[in-house]
Amino acid sequence: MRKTIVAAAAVIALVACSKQNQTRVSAPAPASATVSGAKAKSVMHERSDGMKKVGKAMKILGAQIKSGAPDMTAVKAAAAAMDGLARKSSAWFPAGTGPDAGKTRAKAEIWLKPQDFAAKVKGFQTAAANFNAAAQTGNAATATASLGELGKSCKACHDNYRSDEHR
Amino acid sequence: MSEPVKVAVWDVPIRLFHWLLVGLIGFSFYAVKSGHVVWHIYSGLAILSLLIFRLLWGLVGSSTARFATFVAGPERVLGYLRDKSSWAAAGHSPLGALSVLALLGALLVQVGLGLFAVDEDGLNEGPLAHFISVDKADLMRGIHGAWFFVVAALIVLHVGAIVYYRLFQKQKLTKAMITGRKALEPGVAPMRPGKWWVAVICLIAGIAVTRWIIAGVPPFGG
Ligand code: HEC
Ligand code: HEM
Repeated sequence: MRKTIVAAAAVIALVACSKQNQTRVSAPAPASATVSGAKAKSVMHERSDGMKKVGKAMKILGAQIKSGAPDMTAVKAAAAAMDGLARKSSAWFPAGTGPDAGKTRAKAEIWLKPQDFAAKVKGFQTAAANFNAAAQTGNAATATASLGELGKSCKACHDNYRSDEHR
Repeated sequence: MSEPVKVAVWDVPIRLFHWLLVGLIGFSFYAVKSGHVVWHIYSGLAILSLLIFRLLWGLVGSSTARFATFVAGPERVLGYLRDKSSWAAAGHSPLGALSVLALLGALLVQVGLGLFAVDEDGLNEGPLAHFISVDKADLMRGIHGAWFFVVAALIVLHVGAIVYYRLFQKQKLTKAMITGRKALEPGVAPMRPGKWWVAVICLIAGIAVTRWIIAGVPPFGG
């Protein structure tokens, strides 16, 4: 069963790979050039650190919003931090920082489907900017209403491009 | 020795509780490992309702469900270990009672920790997680995940004991938990059944307490 899944995944990956190779010619140049060695390590570290901060901001937002009576000062601060991190996140995934480069949960698929992945980054950035704008109004209901979209943007990317916590 | 006779040992509520619990524990594990944290939380809350039901049914239920009937002190447990024929009754053996208590207790801890845990990404959390700091809720997830090894170990022990009884004592305990009946020596008193409507009240109470927790334990919370 497991072997079948692995084999199927490998086939799918190969097919996806060959498709991407065809489209890559006409695709826009990747946002950042390929990195290696110490540079790759430092980007990977920055990425993991950045995502941890994103996670922390999300937990603060979740805890505040779900408390029913959010402390809007804390919400505003976390929303601004989230927006800043989202903007930075485009620089966290240069080619050469995949599983071959060291310990990471970033899946190789990220660099096999660059356009789809870029769309996920964009979705995250848009959701974070929208949420920040909503939070800065200081209105708890407005902020609450747009938190869901932000959460969905994390899941949309993680479901496809992040591997399990314990491997 | 005369022929054993089949008598009632487990009532319907106990059997339903047992197999639902098995299913939900399996499902909880599957859900969290496949990234379905929302399903995991709902399943865990269902387990919480069942556990509360079981505690209440252990006070007012059928004779074999009652803690007062089956919980045994160290003397009785040791006596049973020395001589298995020293104990003959419908329900849990003195040793089995330990297993039941350990499993129920460990599951209460598992669920209790889950109520305060937040997931890795801050997208879903137990209904009481926002009462503690973000860092503590993270820690709760860690302990909750690690505690599952305790639960899993107890389950392995529990199943292992049943296999042992099947192979070496020729007792079909699993079948008894399905059919509710077991062959006992004649003269051993069978289960005294509890009232079905009491079971319904216990279940409603379990669900009500769970809903109160989901609502954030008003009026203490918010
Ligand atoms: C465009 C894709 C993408 C988006 C959008 C995204 N993530 Fe991630 N995230 C990743 C990848 C890939 C990793 C694995 C990074 C690694 O291990 O190098 C990750 C890792 C994480 C981690 C684990 C960090 C660690 O190393 O312990 C957390 C927490 C996290 N993300 C939270 C979030 C939250 C919260 C959001 C939304 C607000 C979000 N992410 C949005 C791709 C994404
Ligand atoms: C007996 C029932 C339960 C079992 C067996 C169980 C088991 C687990 C396991 C094995 C994990 C993975 C931990 C890890 O990966 O580190 C987990 C995570 C978690 N559980 Fe439970 N749990 C149960 C009940 C609950 C309940 C009742 C809640 C909340 C109401 C809950 C909330 C959570 C949360 C929020 C996580 C974190 C998920 C994540 O990291 O993405 N659990 N649980």
